[in-house]
Amino acid sequence: MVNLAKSQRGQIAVEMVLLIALSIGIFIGISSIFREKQYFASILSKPWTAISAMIQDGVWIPGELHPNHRNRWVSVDGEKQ
Amino acid sequence: MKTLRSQSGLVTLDYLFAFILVGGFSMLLFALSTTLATVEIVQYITYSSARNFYASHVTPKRQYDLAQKKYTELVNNPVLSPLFKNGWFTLDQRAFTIGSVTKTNPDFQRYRQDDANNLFHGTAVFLTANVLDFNVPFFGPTTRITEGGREGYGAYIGSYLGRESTFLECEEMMKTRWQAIQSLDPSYSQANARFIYVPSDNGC
Repeated sequence: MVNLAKSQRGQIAVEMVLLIALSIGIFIGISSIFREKQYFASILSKPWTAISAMIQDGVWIPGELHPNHRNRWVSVDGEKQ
Repeated sequence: MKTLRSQSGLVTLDYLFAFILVGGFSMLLFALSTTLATVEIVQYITYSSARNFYASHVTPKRQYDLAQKKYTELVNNPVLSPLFKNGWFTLDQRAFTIGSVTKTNPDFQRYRQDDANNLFHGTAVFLTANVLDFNVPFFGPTTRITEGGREGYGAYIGSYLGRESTFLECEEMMKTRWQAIQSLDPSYSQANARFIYVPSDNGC
């Protein structure tokens, strides 16, 4: 019985090593997916197109006319423009 | 008891993972907030410079010089200048413009083609936000990497208030107008110059 108890403690150690290896594997896997897919870059680069348009032209859609453009500050058709 | 002690180490790895991930997001939000605040500051600098460019003076060159002076004064201000000197943000002097921005801003060049009267006169500069471009450990860069290299974050910031005509421009315009009036009828050109006075109200 005494010998069995000792071997059981060793089993825990092995399981610990396996769990740590698994955790590190998941950690490396997730981080490599993040790097390959450039998730962190996408978080900012996608909305940045709209943000820079707002900074530059005061509109969310890139390519829209600046408020100083005559088609925006002069309108003979009222709401149609 | 020994088994319980060894279990506590497992949390370290999870904590490390979560800490780096949350830390990365926090840094990104901090960088974005700082960028938006700096955009407002640069917007004010260009507005202030454009306001100096707008006001009438003797010649257009004096208007330009005053706008340039105000821009330099604000960019080198002891409170604001650290923003542009510590590497977080860069004001691209190559894109800096006082006057017609359609020549330097590629996005505005089409405006000029559309309509010659659609002018954008003021002050503009290109702000690059280097603070948004960093690497999160294990998770990669915050900037998209393409075949052309790293895509940075930046935008043209400008104020387009226009430009008032100057004293000399007004004088020249009134002179040309008087010549045109004189050419309408011979009796006008024969009028005694002593009785002709063109009032100037510092505007056209």
